[in-house]
Amino acid sequence: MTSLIAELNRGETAARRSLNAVADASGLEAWRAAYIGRKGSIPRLLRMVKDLPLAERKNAGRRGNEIRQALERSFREKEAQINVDGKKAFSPQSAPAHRQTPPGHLHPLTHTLRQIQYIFTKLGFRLIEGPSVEEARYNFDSLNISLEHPARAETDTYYLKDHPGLVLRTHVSPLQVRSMLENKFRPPVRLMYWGPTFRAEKEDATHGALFQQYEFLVIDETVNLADLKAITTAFYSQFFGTEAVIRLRPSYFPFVEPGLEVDMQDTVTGRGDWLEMAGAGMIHPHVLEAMNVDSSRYQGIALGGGLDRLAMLKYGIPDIRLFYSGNLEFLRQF
Amino acid sequence: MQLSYNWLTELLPNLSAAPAEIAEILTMHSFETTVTGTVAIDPHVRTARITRLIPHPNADRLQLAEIDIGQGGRLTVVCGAPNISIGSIVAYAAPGARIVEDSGSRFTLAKATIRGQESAGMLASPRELGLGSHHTGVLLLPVDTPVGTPLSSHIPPDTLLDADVTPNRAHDCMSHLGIARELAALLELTVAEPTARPLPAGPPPDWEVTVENPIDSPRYLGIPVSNVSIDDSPLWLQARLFAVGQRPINNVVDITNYVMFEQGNPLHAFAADRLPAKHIAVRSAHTGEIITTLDGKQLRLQPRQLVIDSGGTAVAVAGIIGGSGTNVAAGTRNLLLEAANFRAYAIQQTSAELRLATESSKRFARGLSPVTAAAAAARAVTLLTDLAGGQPLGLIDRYPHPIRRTRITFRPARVSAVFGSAVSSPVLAGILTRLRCAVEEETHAVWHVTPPPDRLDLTGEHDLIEEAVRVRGFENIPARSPDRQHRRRVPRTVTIREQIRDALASAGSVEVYNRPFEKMQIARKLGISTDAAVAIANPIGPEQAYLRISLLPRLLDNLLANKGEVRLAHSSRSRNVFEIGTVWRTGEGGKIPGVIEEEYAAAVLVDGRDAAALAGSILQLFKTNDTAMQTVSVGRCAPAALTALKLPATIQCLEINISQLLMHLNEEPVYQPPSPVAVKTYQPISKYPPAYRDISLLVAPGTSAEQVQGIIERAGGVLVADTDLFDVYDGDEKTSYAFHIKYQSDSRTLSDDEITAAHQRICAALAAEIGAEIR
Repeated sequence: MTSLIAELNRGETAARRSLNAVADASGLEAWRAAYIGRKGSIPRLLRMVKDLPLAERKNAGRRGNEIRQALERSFREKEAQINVDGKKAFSPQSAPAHRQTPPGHLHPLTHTLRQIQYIFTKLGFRLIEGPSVEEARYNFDSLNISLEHPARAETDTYYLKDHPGLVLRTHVSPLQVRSMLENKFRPPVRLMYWGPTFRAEKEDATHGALFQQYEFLVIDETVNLADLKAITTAFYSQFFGTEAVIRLRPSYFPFVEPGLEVDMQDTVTGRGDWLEMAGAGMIHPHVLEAMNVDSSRYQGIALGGGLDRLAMLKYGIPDIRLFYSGNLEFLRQF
Repeated sequence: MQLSYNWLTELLPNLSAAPAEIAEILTMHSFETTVTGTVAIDPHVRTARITRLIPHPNADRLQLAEIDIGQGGRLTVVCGAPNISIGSIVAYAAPGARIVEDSGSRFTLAKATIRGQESAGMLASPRELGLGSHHTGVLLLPVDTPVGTPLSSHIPPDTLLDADVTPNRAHDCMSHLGIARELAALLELTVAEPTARPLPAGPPPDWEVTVENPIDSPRYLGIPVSNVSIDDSPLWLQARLFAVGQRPINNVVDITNYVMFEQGNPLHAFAADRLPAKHIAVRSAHTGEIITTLDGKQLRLQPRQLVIDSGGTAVAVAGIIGGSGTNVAAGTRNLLLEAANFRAYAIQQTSAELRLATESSKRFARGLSPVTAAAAAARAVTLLTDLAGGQPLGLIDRYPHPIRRTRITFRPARVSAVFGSAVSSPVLAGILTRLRCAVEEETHAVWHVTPPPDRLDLTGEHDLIEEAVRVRGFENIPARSPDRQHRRRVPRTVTIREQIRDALASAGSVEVYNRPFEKMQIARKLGISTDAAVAIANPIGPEQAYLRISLLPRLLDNLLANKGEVRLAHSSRSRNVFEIGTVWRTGEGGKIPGVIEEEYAAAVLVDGRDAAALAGSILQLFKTNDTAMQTVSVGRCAPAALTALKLPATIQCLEINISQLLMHLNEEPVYQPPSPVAVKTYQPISKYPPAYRDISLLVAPGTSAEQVQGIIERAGGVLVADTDLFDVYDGDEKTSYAFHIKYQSDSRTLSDDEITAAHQRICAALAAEIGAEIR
């Protein structure tokens, strides 16, 4: 690795020295072909990156690309300079050589998701993904939400035109049954999944038509509410970096029973009141059967919550709509 | 469900828990409950009788009411209410009383002169007294109410709670009795069941009830009641209705409402003499059949919607609202009391189709037990007899398929297996018995449990486990650490996505998450074919007409949302945007029949960066086969589209089909999640638009950029939101700097004049302090 990076560095020095000597357009074109053109020395070295051992590939690739991009920039600057007849003068179009690549930024929801993925893989969960356009039978029926169930009418669901039976998933819970069937998983399993979810409702500071959910699921012969409490406490403690105090209280979701709501004491802002974090419960026997899991032998726990909400709490973001605003001033804070 | 604390204490005489404790207990064991407010009649409000009414000399709509306030006291108040007459008993608010305004805030009443006439206080409406929202007239009290007594002695102080009853408990808990039973089970109390005498035994002469479809109307009880005398309800009953947000109307209507809030089953009283026939039929509506409701609205009905029919005319929309013309009003002597049970889904559908939700439809739509209808009927007939002098003439009870009570096999050990620690058999038996279940212990391991008939939600062992667990209390679940597990590998879909994300960000792009909807306007401008786009059947607005077919249109939208910055020729801030997300098109072969979902990474590069080079460098992160380049498209965006959007023509785009790229991998990608970033705290951003002005200046060599920036920010003051050094040129005799200055306010959109003034201040300060030459 060291040798390829060293070669890349040497290549850059040579290219820069040579570029300084370029005086006109034809010289510049010759320089481009020699150093950064398709057959130029830097791209040639870059093509060798893929043959490196895995561990070294990334650094070499990154360094190579930095060099190539820097040289391409210098090339354009020189080009602009030559175009104004070699007259050395300040012009906003000719960027100075010292200018650095401004840093890019990952979205706060990405930072949040990565941390969730990190924590759950550490807790032994397998990461799973699934479609956001979902079949109603997975979004509702197999989750014990029949056509006549009031919860189905009360959910503001987006339906697709010309595609009867398809919806934009209203939660990530359809992956409970879908992933078990698709992958032919058999207990014991520990799954964690996440993704965009949709509700056809007017947006406000805490409700988006688009929002992100995460959910985990464990099925084995003995998993119970004490495990749910343990995993949830560990998750929030690691996520917020402070010992989380959670409380469970009864709630209702057709696909779990007992169904419960998970509150966390607000130690993040220090106000100490209870914040609603997630819905959870023991997987309903009908749902286990829909997964082809024998509900007389196995039991399961599941918990699902809002990823946006985690990010809002962690970063002190007051309005969910900021995530989807594309506002650079907001996004560059992360 | 709004609850009156007084009402609960009447049903639970030994209840010692305060309202806040009740809210906490219900929240932790049943459903979320909060204390929402209090009813407390101001002590300055007393009962009074109107003795004389004189038109106000200076105002057509006002009257001067002379009132008797007891013990010989006489006063005159100015009053504009339409519902007063001589002899009315009213609520007189003396000066000093706190009166509730429309907004909910209160003011202190003072003596006032209204259009030249002095008013010694006022006659108050229910709203002004804090009794709900009714303000169409003053509160009229029963004629036998003693004059000169504090109103609070008739309507005592109360505390209101709001229980967010979950759908599974709507069968039994949408009533004060239901909540009282719940509290009795949790707190080991006894419910004082309200008095209800048995319903009359035989059928009434002349009346007939037919039910077209017993599946939609499993039960219909019709009870003719004769000789009622319509009057105001006693104040204790009115107080109950005020507490749950209802307006008292007359004793009969009030009793039907009262019983609904007490027992949970909605009731309806028809004026029997105004029904077209002594025959009630429950049938589906005719196409286009029109009914005028109690509140004067015309509804056009459709088959499948259920109506109550009498003599061929619809007299009520079943379970939702009564019709006009057959309602009970002054002069009504004979009633037909309806206590029915309707299928939840039928009422749900009709209520949604008619966009009409009432206290009645809310209860039926979530499902009630037919048993509750009979209990409510008995209670209502008792009250109609006791409070309105009515005489029940007989009972018709159409109930062809009585519900069967389920006997559930229950293994007590299952509770401990779910709870995570042992719950003993005696504790379990106690819980189930307090929940009104019949418990038979066949062996110590197998029991048979029969839930009460109103608990429609208890159908299997898992339901009983939940009951046991929640009554026992989630707070008793033991705390422990999670099991130790081996770390799981991250799947390739995640790996490749995160690597691309890192690559795009480290190349100076800002990640966005866009809503995946669109109108397709920009897509069409970009020449993207939208033929296969998937349309949303029920978009909230036109911008949600389709699911996106490409990430690029919304990325250009993002640039437009930041156009002030994007249109700057240079910036030291990153302005390229990228997104990783799903796009959809119609087609077969994906996981979902009829729709193909694919994941893309896309970037729009503003800074002149070469998209092809960037894409190439990303592909080099992976071991791919030779055809992997097929998954990438790069280049300049359609120049015409950019021109139309007034975006720089040099913008380049890049799209990588990640779903496809996964199929070109020769080797599993490897990825180490980066260590967590330090937590940042969001800094509020202004919602008012920024304006950018550039300044370029020549200064003496050795003058630092920071020094210049300091002067700009000081001279510009609060209007300068940011200064961005975008160019430096070190000449021999002078150094040249160029800055973008961002002007923005947190409280308003800045005017051109303000910005120009600030900009000139900055130029002057730079010239004066460091001798800068502004170019």
